[in-house]
Amino acid sequence: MSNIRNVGDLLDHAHDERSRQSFVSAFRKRILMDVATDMKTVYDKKVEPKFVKKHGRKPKDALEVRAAMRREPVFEGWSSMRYNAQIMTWWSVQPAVERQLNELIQAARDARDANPAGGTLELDPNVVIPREVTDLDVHHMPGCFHTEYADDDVAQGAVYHYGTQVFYGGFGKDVKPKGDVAMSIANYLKLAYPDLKPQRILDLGCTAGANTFPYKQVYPDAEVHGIDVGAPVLRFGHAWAEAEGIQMHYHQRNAETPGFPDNHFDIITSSFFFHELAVPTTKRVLKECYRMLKPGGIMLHMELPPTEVTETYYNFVLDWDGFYNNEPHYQKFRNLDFTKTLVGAGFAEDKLEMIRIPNYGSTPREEFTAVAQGDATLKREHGLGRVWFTFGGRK
Amino acid sequence: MSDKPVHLPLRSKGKRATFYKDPAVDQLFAIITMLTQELSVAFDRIETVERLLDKNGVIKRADIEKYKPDDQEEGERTKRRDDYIGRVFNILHQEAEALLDS
Repeated sequence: MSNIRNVGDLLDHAHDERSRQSFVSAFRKRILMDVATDMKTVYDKKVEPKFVKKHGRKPKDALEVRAAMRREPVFEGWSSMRYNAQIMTWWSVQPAVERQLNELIQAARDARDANPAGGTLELDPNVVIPREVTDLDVHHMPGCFHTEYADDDVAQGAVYHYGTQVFYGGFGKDVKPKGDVAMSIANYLKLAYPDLKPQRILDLGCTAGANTFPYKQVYPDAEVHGIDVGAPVLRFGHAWAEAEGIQMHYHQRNAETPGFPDNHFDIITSSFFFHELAVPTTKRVLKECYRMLKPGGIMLHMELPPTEVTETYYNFVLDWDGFYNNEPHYQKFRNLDFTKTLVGAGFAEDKLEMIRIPNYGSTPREEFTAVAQGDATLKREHGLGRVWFTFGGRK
Repeated sequence: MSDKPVHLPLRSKGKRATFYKDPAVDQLFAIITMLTQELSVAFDRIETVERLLDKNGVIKRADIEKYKPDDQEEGERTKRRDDYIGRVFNILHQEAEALLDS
């Protein structure tokens, strides 16, 4: 290990900045637990009965629930709280990033030069940044994943990394991004496919790599690669991995034209990536995945659960982000016919995987193992990160 | 790299959402939410001052800046923030409460 400073925890927050961050975390917890429960009560006790009385049936989909709820004060209030909390998440970390940007950039340069873990960072100034990222600031993070404000800039990586800690901070004391999704998928794959000895693993849209690291931890002998279009998140992710002593290979590439050879990867994965893409892009990226996957290799992406397998009211709650969180492709993605989409990308219908993987860190080991070994009786409801919906297939 | 300070933008690209018939209500909501946050910050600061007074008898501004609560105190603060948000936004809870009571 070298003594380079770790971009992942070097930021100093002043007293009032920490306090603003704590407020946002507490505020989000209130919104997602208490006010959401109140909203469900109003729906169950008032809105749905009124709907049933008028139409002789329950709402058939999320849009009908939405139409019935749209002018309810509890929905307007809950939405306003959630929307403002989203914006305030990034605002709560931006001043500290601005103030210490030179230090962050220097630490990232030091990590790159010393390179103690032996990872790599390949940047391509000519990469095509897609409209999905340039049209709107996804999640209302001003500057999105790709904007650069200085030479060797890592600002957006830092805003994303530290902002994410604030975002998830309301649910527990340990607020470091710990890659829950990747930890769950990687451990699932290891148990479900004991014969798979991956040489190369690819993570699409990896941002700063919180959900890329765990693959190296679970499969220490594999080369782990992450691609993203945003240089600042990749520089940050590379510096963070080097400081943590985890060997990662990051590339600034577009998942539509990733450029890796055919039959190259044993595992291809992603977390919360596809719902940010337009549906035609999703189809092209899945074809590329099939092309790059080795025969016998497995592709497994974590995503929002499809509309058709999710209860109507919960669809309405989930789809909120599609309307208000600068994620315009969200509902169209959730409405996809996943079997048809995967078969269209080249996967054989009898080799598809669509499974809800329990969250590794918070699930008893016996239960996790049983699910990985095919015990479908332990199906859990989606929500609050207890279970992750995944889709993919084996080549 | 130039030494010119970087200013990150506060406005996110894309249409700002509105939830009320009159967008002025949305703006007021944003303002009130920010004020709520700042008041929460003020509570934190006062609490820090009080605790430091108890401890030292003298306050140094630098002490306030670097003051970090221990786990137990952070737990108390978290509870206080949670209760506070519950009080300020109680109006949103009242309909559900009435429906459950009826």
